[in-house]
Amino acid sequence: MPIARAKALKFPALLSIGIIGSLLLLTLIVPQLLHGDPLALTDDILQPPSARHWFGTDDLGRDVLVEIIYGTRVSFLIGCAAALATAVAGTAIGSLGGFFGGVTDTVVTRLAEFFQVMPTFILAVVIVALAGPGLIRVVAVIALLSWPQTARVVRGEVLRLSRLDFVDALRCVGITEWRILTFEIIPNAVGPVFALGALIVGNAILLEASLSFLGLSDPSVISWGRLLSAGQRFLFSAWWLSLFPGLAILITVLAFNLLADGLRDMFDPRHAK
Amino acid sequence: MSTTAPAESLLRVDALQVTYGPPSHLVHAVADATLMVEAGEAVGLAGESGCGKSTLARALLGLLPERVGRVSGGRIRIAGKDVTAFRDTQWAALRGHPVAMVFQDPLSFLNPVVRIGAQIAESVRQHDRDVALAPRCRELLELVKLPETVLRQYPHELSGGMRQRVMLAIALGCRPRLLVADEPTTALDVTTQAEIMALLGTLRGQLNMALLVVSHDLGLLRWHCDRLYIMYAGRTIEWGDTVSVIDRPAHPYTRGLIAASRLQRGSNGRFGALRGEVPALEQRLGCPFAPRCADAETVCRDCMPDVTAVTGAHHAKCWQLGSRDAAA
Amino acid sequence: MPLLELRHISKTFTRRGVSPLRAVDDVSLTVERGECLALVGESGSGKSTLARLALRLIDADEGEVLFDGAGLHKLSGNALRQARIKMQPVFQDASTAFNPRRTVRTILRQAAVADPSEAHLCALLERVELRPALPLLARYPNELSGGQRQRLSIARALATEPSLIIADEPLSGADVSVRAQILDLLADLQEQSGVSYLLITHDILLARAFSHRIAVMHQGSIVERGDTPTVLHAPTHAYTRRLLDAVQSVDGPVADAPSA
Repeated sequence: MPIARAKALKFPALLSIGIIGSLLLLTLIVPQLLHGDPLALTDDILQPPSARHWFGTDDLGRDVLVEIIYGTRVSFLIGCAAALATAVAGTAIGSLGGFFGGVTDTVVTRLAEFFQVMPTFILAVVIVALAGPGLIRVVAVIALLSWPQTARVVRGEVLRLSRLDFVDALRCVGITEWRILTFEIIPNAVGPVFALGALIVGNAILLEASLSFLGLSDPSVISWGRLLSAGQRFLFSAWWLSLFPGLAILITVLAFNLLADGLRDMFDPRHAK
Repeated sequence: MSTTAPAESLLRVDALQVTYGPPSHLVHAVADATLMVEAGEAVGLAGESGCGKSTLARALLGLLPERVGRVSGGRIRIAGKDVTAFRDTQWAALRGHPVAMVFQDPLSFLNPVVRIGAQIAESVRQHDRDVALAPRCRELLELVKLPETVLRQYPHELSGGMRQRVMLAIALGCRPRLLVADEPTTALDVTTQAEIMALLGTLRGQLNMALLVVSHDLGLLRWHCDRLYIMYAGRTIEWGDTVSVIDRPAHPYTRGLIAASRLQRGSNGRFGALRGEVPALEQRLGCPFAPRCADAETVCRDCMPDVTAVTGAHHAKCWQLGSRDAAA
Repeated sequence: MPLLELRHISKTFTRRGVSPLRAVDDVSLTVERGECLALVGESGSGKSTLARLALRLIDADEGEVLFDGAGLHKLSGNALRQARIKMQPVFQDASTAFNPRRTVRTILRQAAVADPSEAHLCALLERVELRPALPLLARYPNELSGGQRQRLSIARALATEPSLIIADEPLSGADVSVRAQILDLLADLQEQSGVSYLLITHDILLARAFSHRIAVMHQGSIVERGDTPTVLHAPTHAYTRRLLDAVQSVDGPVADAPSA
């Protein structure tokens, strides 16, 4: 079969779409409902969860729930930007290798292998530590470290598709190689990229959290990792400072992983039951 | 015709129906199939893709896809035993002996990481617990005319023709009385195809084994089968001695199929005699071939034709049979 | 001047870890205007490679490809695309011959560059007896039956108004009854437009039915060639005789049967 027929998403994937959707809605709606500066310092410091502060307050008297909701923005932004950058770079590089073959393919494959054997996290830490923190840098580092996976998948698909007869038929009616690759082959090859994209969003959120946990992120931006990092000083006296940001990361990353599984099943009949 | 047949045919299929899918989307892959194979006989089952010939062949070994396909009517008798309602465990006792099967694509039925010798030995052990393995394997290879060195090789090291011979050896290891061969040579080159078919013929005589060859290739069946069944849209529509069916086809579909396989221009200068394509499987009142038939009349479209004897053992299901004979 | 001329074409495939395979070994052949040349051989004989070399979908190691006077082996880029547009392939497996995401309309429009009008596309479909044409334009290839797909691939080939169609096992994927219909269609098209065919097949019956001349290919070389009746009735090469002996026709041995 030349391409996989799209199938309906299964329950876990639909659930994860629900979770991701609700988080997005919260980040959009909640800031509109709050009056004044929701992150202003107050005297209610280190309050445990209560009816007034559902997730408690931190050492500067800020509501943890509000902080988490603001942190969602950063996490989602980084995750999606990184996934997008990865998908574009991986698809472009992988399809060049798969379609043109020969030396191009060897270079692409070796380059991908080089980046795949890199210890991801350590490299990220080194780069951010040397270049300084910043959202764009974090996105760039994540993209740099995760494109090979996408590139390898796209390369394989493009290689398979470009051996099909329809490509030769298009050549014979006078369509140029570039048009064949861009408009005829790549659209048939990108299905798995969506699945990988969802996976990369999850990985990127985790990596960003790890970097900010180590203090290697922009200190002026609230993110889940920075909340965790700030909370660890009060791990035994104010458990809510660590638990809720941790749960937010866990649930979101899990949701993106389930979504990735669902998308993979949708595009790849071999994995589906 | 049931009265004329001896009671203990090796294989006897009466009015068999096989359905696929859930009750809401039932597909009648086999709608009404009749088939008989006597001991030692070579029978051909011919038809185009989607006519139900492979489904019928699989039903004979209880190999319908689990939970999806099932026998919903008619009867299958193997060596006098009614196997229609057999469970998987009961089938297991029948598969290989007395009925074995070889398929079109041997590569997907051979284990890629196990040596040929072990795969043949496994089949032998299933059915002959007391036999000495090594001599029996060598004997089987000799039967299919393969060198002994093949025993130590893996499937991917063999050519397509050799793999099909290995499949044959595995099937023969069970000492079948009936070998069902589903498109056994379709994937092979012309010259290899001829060799394999010749081998099947030799083995049949040597081992007194009956053959049921399922194929779309009438030319091949013409040369290797004593009797021929033609299937169309899930029904056996004509059967009889090969020579009689090929030389004096009674059903218009059979006539068209023979003309089309000839690949020669007819009297009108055309290669083709059949219009249209094989229809989707569906329940219809009349003759399934009526929409493509040049001679179809009202009765053809409204009622299913009965079995009519053409000559002796040659039968066909066509309303026009009597009228045409009268005209001739 | 022949329409297509291959002069001393050779092609060797090399892959790491595998000994080089000389798929086509010093082959020369010609296809004249309005004729059908059947290239007969078994799998691995190099006949499909030769077809791709003729279309210059792959480059020959040695030799020349002349189509309608133009040396395709010397051309590249736009010049090559222009020069070979009148030579069109029809493939064996019509299920992979189309981009599954394109409608019949787009598939034909990509080929019918000179006149992509709806009326012309319908006319193309009607030439291959795909009727009614208009509703078919919006369909996807996988919504068509096998026979319809093979007709569509012929329609696409016709869209450039080719003078040569290179058909690689055009009937192998089709049902017996559809084969004869496609063959009738190919014969009609030749009668109407004088298109030439290079018919690549393993089936001597098909070659007998349809070709004016036969070239028998074996292990990369052409071992026998000549007028179809001559080759079938008086084969000189042992391999040709083996091929003929292996044919199982509904009527009887090929050599005794009347030729087309």
